Amino acid sequence: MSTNRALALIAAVLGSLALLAGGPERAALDPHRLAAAIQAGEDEIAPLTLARWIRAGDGVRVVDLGPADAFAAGHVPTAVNVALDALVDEPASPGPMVLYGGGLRVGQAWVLLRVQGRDARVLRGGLDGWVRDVMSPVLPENAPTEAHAAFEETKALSRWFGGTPRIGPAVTPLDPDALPIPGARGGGSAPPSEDAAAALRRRGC
Amino acid sequence: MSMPLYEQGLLGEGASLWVALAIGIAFGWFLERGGMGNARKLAGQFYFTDLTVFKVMFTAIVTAMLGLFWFARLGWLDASLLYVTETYVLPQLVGGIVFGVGFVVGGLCPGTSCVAAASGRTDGFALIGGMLFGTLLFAEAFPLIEGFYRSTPLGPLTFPDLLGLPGGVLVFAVVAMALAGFALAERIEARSGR
Repeated sequence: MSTNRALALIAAVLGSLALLAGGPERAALDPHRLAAAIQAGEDEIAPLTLARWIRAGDGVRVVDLGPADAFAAGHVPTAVNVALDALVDEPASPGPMVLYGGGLRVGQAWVLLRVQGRDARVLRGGLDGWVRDVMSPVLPENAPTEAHAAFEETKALSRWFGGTPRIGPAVTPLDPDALPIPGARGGGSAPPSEDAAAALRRRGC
Repeated sequence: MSMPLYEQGLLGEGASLWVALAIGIAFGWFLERGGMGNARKLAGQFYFTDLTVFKVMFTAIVTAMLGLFWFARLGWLDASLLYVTETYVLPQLVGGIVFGVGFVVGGLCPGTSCVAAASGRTDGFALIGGMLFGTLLFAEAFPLIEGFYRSTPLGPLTFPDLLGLPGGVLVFAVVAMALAGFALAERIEARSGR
């Protein structure tokens, strides 16, 4: 085969594959795929699932996009406080990233990270959801038996983080006594840091 | 993504100019080696006796197009950072006609006139002189023609935007057109006895 024919064949193959590839953008930029992922709930993660990941040491990176003073007042254990523009400049972490805080910023951050092809989720309910589902989980007294069985795992998880699981009526999400970080509104004296989970275990168990 | 290198901040201003110089030297060398400094060869395009210009230009278009498409698709290139020239329909139509007439009359285009001049050909120098004079004339007359120059703007428009088709479809169409064109060019040249 002559050089010209070989080059023509290569061009024909690449051109034909382009027909199947769609646009030059990577799949992550396709708005239809992003919308489908959001619709399927792939953009978010439940607080209890995040709690399991943190306890298992799965390499999850928790990012608080809120202001520094709110972060100091309370945050999810192992979370780091990062501004949005710094977040997109960071090299990709090996594990998944969970985002919360900052109001609308968290949804915007999810889109930007997905465009970069990174595995990111939004914490369902944010810090309030963490406090409600992990730090102060409540099982109604009249819940079915299978719910009580499942609640045993939730109780173990909650206590691991220093939470206070209970049976009975639900408490409000902003219960000061349920905040995970000591030093603010009724907590202890350990500083917020990557060892917050270990500190909470010592305090709560 | 790490390309375009300059837009991504991986290549500074000074380094970019050196890279541009190196690319320019390579470009001129390959044009000259392909015979693009010869006005007779270039003019032959318009008499359908020598279709080298068509084959060279379309080879360059297909190579660059496939490279950009697949580099972007693989995430090595951020296509949104590429500069796309703005479209001004009427001025560019008129400019194209003027360019076409000049190309046929002179036998060289601006780039190949530099190649011809670098090879020592006097027609290259003559065309460069005419080009510089025309540029000066345009600059002096610009206040009078600025309205027309900026008329019918469509912004940085691409065919995928215009036709509402995925870029891959356009890539396939251009490659198919180019390959068909190359085959046809070979037949035409064979008939003209080249």
